Amino acid sequence: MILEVNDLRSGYATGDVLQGVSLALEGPGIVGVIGRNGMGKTTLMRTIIGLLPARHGTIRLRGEDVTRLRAEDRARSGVGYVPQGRGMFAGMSVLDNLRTGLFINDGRREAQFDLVYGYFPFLRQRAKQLAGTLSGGQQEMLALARALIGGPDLLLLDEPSDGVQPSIIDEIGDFLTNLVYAQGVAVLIVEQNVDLIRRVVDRAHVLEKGRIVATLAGETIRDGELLAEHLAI
Amino acid sequence: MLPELTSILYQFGTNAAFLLLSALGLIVILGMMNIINLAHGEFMMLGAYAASFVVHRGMPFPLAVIMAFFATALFGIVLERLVIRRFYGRELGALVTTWGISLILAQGALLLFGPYMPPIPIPGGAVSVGVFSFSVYWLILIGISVVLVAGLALVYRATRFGLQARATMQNPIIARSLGIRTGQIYMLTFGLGAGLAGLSGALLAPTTSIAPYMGQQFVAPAFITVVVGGGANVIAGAVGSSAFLSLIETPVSLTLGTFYGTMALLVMALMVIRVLPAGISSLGARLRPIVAR
Repeated sequence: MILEVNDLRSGYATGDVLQGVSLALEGPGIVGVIGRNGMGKTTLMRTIIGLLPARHGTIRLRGEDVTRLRAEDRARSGVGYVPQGRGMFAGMSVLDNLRTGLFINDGRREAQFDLVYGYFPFLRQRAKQLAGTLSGGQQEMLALARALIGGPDLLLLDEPSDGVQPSIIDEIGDFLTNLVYAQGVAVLIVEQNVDLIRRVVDRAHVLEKGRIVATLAGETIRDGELLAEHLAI
Repeated sequence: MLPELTSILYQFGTNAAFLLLSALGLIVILGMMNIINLAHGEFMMLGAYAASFVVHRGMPFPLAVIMAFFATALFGIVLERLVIRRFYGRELGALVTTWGISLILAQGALLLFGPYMPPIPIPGGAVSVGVFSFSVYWLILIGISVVLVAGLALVYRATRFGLQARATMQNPIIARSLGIRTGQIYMLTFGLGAGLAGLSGALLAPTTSIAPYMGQQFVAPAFITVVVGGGANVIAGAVGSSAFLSLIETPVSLTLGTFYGTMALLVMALMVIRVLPAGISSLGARLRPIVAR
């Protein structure tokens, strides 16, 4: 069991956004969380990585309870997090941005520069360029590479399709499926983009008003209309 | 002609070195952490006191300077843990707090050690070119200030700590989510800034009288240098602004006297901030797209 979230509640000063969410990632694979804006997707991600405190419930990584651990220590225990909007260090070079990912997993694994350059060759060519000058899609790939370079067991992706052009979204989708088979990483992805969800996830939880109201798997995922229904306003 | 030129260069060098040494710790604390540290001068005073204390107990001056760095850095780390860390992101709170700390330190030094510490004799003699004579110690200080700034830039560009510090200053939340222990980074950064202020204080101690309120003479030059330099690249900015301001100050001082020299420096600082509110280093950021094209 890589990630186990049990009856999680958290939110902001105005109240609980998550109203008791439970989900689990048993091993390598891609699990999606879908839902419309304001249903608590980003709150879920921020609570799992530890940027928001859990008010109730538990979060376990590989069986270990990390609910009270700080974000930096959760990352060091092997979680790569790609925030919504990508979280670039815009004034730092592409290479320096990559290097900031080396503390994930606490340096237990060798830095996987060759792996990420293999997936995204432009990162090597643009190593010295400032990250803020990359296009949206390139920034997304840099954020993915940065989260991956320390060799995490778990990747948390918050809307990787946001602000990225469709051809690049396909590329990111291929990268994710490839990554799971080649590296055995577990991925939890929050998305609104129907195409990306259909392309990559093994199953998808539908988040509505802070609760998981449905879980789609197999054929129901490939059925784009059903997915779109869950995302419709 | 050569002696006159040497003299002008020497004046320029000492003026720029004075600005740079005054600003050294503040480059880190104001420039990187964005804390308006009004106790900066008192950190320098602490360094001078520490150096004077051990020099008069037989320690060689260069060792005393290094000791002053570590003593003030340690003091800075303790202060950060106890007080400063409660005021991150609250600039005005930090301003009032560091002002209070500066009063306590200066008054505390007065109560503990009296109005004066024994002075440190200026090391090295003088060399003369033509009718002019130049202090060897100031020539050394010019060299040291260059080495210190280059070393600081190297720490930030090429070390693990520097990488984590730059990431933390740009976006502490993202840094934390990548496993960077920002609490430690803030503590070490403040300690480094305090230590560098103490080091500069010890280095400048032989050139001035060592007294509780000696720090005040450094505060204005330090803030002016860092603010005129700007935040786009703090270290390069401080180098640029100290060179630029001395370029204005030196000829005016030599022709009209130091009072008008200081005035020229202040007027020039005002004009730079009026024209380039983000400081001299923002010129680099403005030019980059043009150069890249």
